[in-house]
Amino acid sequence: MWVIQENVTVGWYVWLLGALALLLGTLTAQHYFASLQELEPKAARRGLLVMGVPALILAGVASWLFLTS
Amino acid sequence: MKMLELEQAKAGATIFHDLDEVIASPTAAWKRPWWVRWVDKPTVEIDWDNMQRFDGRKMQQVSWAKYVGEDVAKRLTQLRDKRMKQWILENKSGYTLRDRAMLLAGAQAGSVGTSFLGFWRGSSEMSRLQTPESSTGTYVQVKDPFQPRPLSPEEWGIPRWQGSPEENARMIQAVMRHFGADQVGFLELDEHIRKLVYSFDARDGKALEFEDVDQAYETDNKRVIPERARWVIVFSVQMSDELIKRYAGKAPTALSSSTVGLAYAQGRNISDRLQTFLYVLGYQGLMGTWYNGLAIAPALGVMAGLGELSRLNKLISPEYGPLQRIFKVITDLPLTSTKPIDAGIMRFCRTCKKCAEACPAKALSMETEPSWEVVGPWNNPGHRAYFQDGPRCRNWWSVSTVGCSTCLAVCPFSRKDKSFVHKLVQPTLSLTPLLNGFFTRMHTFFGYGQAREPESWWELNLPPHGINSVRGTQLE
Repeated sequence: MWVIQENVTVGWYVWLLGALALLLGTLTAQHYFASLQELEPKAARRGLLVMGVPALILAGVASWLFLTS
Repeated sequence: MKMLELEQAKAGATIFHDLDEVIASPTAAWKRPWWVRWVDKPTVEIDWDNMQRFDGRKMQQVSWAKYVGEDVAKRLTQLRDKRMKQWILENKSGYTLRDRAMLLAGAQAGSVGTSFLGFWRGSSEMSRLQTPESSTGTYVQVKDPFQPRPLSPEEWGIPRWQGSPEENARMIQAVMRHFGADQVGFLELDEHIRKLVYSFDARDGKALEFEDVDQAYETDNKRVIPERARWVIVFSVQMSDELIKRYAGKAPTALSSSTVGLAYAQGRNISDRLQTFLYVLGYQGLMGTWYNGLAIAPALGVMAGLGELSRLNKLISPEYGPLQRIFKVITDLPLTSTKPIDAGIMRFCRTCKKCAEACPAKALSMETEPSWEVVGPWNNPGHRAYFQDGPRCRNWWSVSTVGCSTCLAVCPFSRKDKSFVHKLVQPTLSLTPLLNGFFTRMHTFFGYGQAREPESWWELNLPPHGINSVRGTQLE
């Protein structure tokens, strides 16, 4: 893979951030669809705001750190 | 729409001419697998021209003896009765006394009213509900053509059911689920729990007394509980979250109240079936003659571990929140007691106060700490609670024309359980109160507990009774 071929060193914190972003993103998706099933559309939308936005930010930061390492 | 119409016509399906027709169709909300097609003609051929109205008396269930011959019918009926008793005595798997009791009890439709002793024994409460000519208050048992009427072991000539208290408790939990109860707990009527039995019954004012007699009995003035009837079976029936939240502004609606009435009716029917079950096993089951009669239901529910008391002064359970009704049957079937619980609910009520803030009658307490001081004679002193102004609440029922349940709707514990958030919040508040304030604010922010447009309920496709009956079971 590119990381191995180019001998790039990615800090452990980048992987951690990426994992957190993935976890938060998964939970956001679960909450969104589950809330729709619960007939709580407002809870679904607010969940996107409260959890989804941080997940995107974390993913963005992790990606930027990964690409610039 | 035209293309759709052509395709529908080719498939022999129902033709909708516009989207309004689609939405209005009773099949619109009916979720069937994709491979099921709605068609105009059934898959069985019918010759309507040659069909006549059927004489119901010819049904084999009704005229069976005529078809097979009276002698054969009599012989087979005797064989059935003989085998029923024989297999009970042999403890044959699937035909034991408790299996038979469940079959007979479950087939009962539930009495029109309620009977302290059991509908087959009659009561003066029953006579009030009968015609003026009836003085004995006897009630006609449901005549199921396939089943004999419920008989006690004494009438049957067999020993009554014997089981350990643990076995009996497990058996009652199983059969109550079959009858439609959600959660079941047990209490021993010790010196403390007896204080939760009314001194005078709620509606007709009859004295409720304990006597050292074998059988419960009832007169015009009192209902007697035998000393040997030392156990109470306490159970809950869920209410629909979607209906409770169909309130308008802060006022309840006829729609939101309907889930309350249904739960009470279910409770009556389940109590009736439980009485029959106990009777067939050889034990007594004593029911309240009014759904809030005999004993204090939320108090029994708290002591039996169904939930905790709350600012609502009703039971809140970890599984259903305040969305259930509690019922009780006193019995002499030995049972083990279930213990009270602590799930952080009463502690959450200290800081939440949503029900009191939302109460349109301002009947609920806004105090942070519960108190020993009652508000009025409608409260039961002797416990530390958020006592409410009951008459203010009741006044509001007349103003709004229906029984109110706004407090139940706004309660943070009234929620479904699909999102992981609920599975995170509930255990956390059980273990620590540190985030209780945050959880209350988040409940508001996420829009839980808000009123839904009442008439929109009619467009939903909900499970029977609008409840999730697998919660807390092994099918969850």
